[in-house]
Amino acid sequence: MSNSDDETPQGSDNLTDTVSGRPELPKGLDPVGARASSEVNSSFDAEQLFGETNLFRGLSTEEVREIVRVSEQRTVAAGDRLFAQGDVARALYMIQSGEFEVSTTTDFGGDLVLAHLGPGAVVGEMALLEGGLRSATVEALSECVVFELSHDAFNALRDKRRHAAYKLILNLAAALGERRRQADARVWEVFENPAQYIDSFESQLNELMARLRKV
Amino acid sequence: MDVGHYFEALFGHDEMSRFEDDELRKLIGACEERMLQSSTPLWVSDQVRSHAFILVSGSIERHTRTHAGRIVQQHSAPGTLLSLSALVKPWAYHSSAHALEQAEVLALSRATFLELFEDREPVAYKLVDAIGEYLVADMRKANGRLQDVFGRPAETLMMLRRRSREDSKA
Repeated sequence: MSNSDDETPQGSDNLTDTVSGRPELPKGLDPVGARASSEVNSSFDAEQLFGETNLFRGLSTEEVREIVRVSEQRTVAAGDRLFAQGDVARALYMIQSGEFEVSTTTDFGGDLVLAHLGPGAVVGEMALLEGGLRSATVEALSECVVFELSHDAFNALRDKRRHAAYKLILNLAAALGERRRQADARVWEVFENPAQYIDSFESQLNELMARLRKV
Repeated sequence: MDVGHYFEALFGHDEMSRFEDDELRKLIGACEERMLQSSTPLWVSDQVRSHAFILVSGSIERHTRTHAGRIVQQHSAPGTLLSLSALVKPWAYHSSAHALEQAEVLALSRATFLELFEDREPVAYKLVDAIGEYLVADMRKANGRLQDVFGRPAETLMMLRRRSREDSKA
């Protein structure tokens, strides 16, 4: 497909393909203490969480339920990684509770913290459409509960031509398209006003050189 | 519209091979025909997207401005899908495209695509698959550009200094 579109967008923000913007906390969901103690509660929590997230916008309750049925709830202990940079991407995660740190290793070898994500945030959407490798590491800062929607489970719905799966892809496409525009806007902004950014890149470089000298 | 003519023109070409025969016919039937004379624009920068395009014959040249300069791409393979993201949202174009020679394209509006999707037509699902592939690839490229600029400050600094010198000369 020679579709490489063309937007050179406005706005800024956003950093990696593994992190989505953080939507508002779903109503009635305890940001810290929400814990599903039974399968029924877990399913209810998931439906509420999924249903109130942008990614599931436009899906009927039954369609949300269909996706929830193929998702799994997981608990991640503080300090454990949800995944690491370079891992094969196999799932999308929706955070129910707890906080994660997203970081990446720079060309100079140091870790750069990209974002902190909490309840309602979605991580790793691109895995749902195409495996590929994770571009960042996501580590739990506290005990976290997530819902995992695996690439395989999602593809099984896709293979059956389930409308819910395709609605989700369209929503993902809209989110990726926006993020792509934002990513290009950040780049564009720098080159639109080169003089304005020379100082900040110079000091960034000086800091890196100083750090390397210490090593 | 002569669906048979377009079917013959598009059948077997790379990007069309994802569609079954009846799906391809359905897709063609849902499109509008457009004949572009040489130099006629297919879209212009800042225009709001409303249609995706399938190139049937002729060639289209697209100009995209990026931080590293202008990119020129030429498309002449029948069946080439252009501007697929128009089916997702009415984002504005930041490129322009025009016919290099007389060109024939089929235009699929977002509204028609959404009707096909709501009717659960298999061809709409195949288009969604194509949109997903395209947007993931495009996002990866955008991440690469971010990494190029913010992950390699020395190279970026050199480019900024050069750009700044050029700006002051102009």
